[in-house]
Amino acid sequence: MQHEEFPSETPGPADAGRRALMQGGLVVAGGFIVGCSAAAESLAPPAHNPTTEYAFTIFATIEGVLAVGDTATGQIRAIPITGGEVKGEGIGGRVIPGGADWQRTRSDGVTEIEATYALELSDKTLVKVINRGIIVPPETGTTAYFRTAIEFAAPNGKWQWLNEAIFLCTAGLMQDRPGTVQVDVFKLV
Amino acid sequence: MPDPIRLEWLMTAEVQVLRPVQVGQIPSGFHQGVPIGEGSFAGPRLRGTVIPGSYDWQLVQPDGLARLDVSGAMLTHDGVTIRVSSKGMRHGPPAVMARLNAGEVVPPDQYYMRALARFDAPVGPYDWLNKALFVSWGERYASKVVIHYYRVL
Repeated sequence: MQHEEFPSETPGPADAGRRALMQGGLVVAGGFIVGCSAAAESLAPPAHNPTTEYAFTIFATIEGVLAVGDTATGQIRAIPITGGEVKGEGIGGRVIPGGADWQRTRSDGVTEIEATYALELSDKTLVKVINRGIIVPPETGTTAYFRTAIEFAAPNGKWQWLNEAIFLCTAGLMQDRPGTVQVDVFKLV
Repeated sequence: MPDPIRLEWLMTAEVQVLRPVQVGQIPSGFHQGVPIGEGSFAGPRLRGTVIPGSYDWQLVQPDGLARLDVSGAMLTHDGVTIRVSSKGMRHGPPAVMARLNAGEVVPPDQYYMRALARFDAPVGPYDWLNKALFVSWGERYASKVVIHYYRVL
């Protein structure tokens, strides 16, 4: 079992608090900032930057809108997911009908989405999917910012790599296939 | 094949981590919270200090993969408080993770420490943080972490 152990000289929280006070660090009392440390040291850009690698595409078909309506935190609706396909190199399958994309449009115009559904891969493996993200309306002449982070729950074995990385998506309604959302999935390397 | 999603460096944070609060074995793994101490962050459009007092809650699964869950806050140099939430993972070859967990300095490219980050900023000069997705990668050391954040373009 791996868990983190630290050398016994690692200072405890109380020590850190005392040190912050002694050094004139940030002190928040009763919700008011009563002291503030000097501006952060300038940190150089990282020597290494992560990239993303295309993994596969989900074509999800949608139909209708279940409008919950206005709530205190925004306008809520669900878009039923009726099926679809999974296509990629070394991966294929279908979207199992019966999921939904729950959306909440906030007061700033941004829509937060959370789609829950399941994939059945071509070897009959079932994979749970939760895809969360945002749609930011386009400014004039640009396309919407539609980005999500997709989380999989695949069984142990051949497909467990889906559980072991962060995956990001670009998504959008397809122009040439009405009622279909194209979700391109990328691994954060 | 679609073009890769591009990432734009947002900031780097260097944060002191303190002795873990260990819940111990729970049904889904080994659970502990690593208290976050003092720290600072800086990038082209953001700089300031980390507000101490939050935890990095970790669940080390039976297969060794650690799920990380941070809910904290930061204070910009011009006095704006921004909430930071982060969910991610850390894993690597068992020998590498053993060295890391023993407090040794391990090159960060030998393990995978990545997360999704979310910022909740008040209306004002930083509310652009509410309108994008962010990811991070991290470097774990015995008593600090260095986290590099990126905007998903």
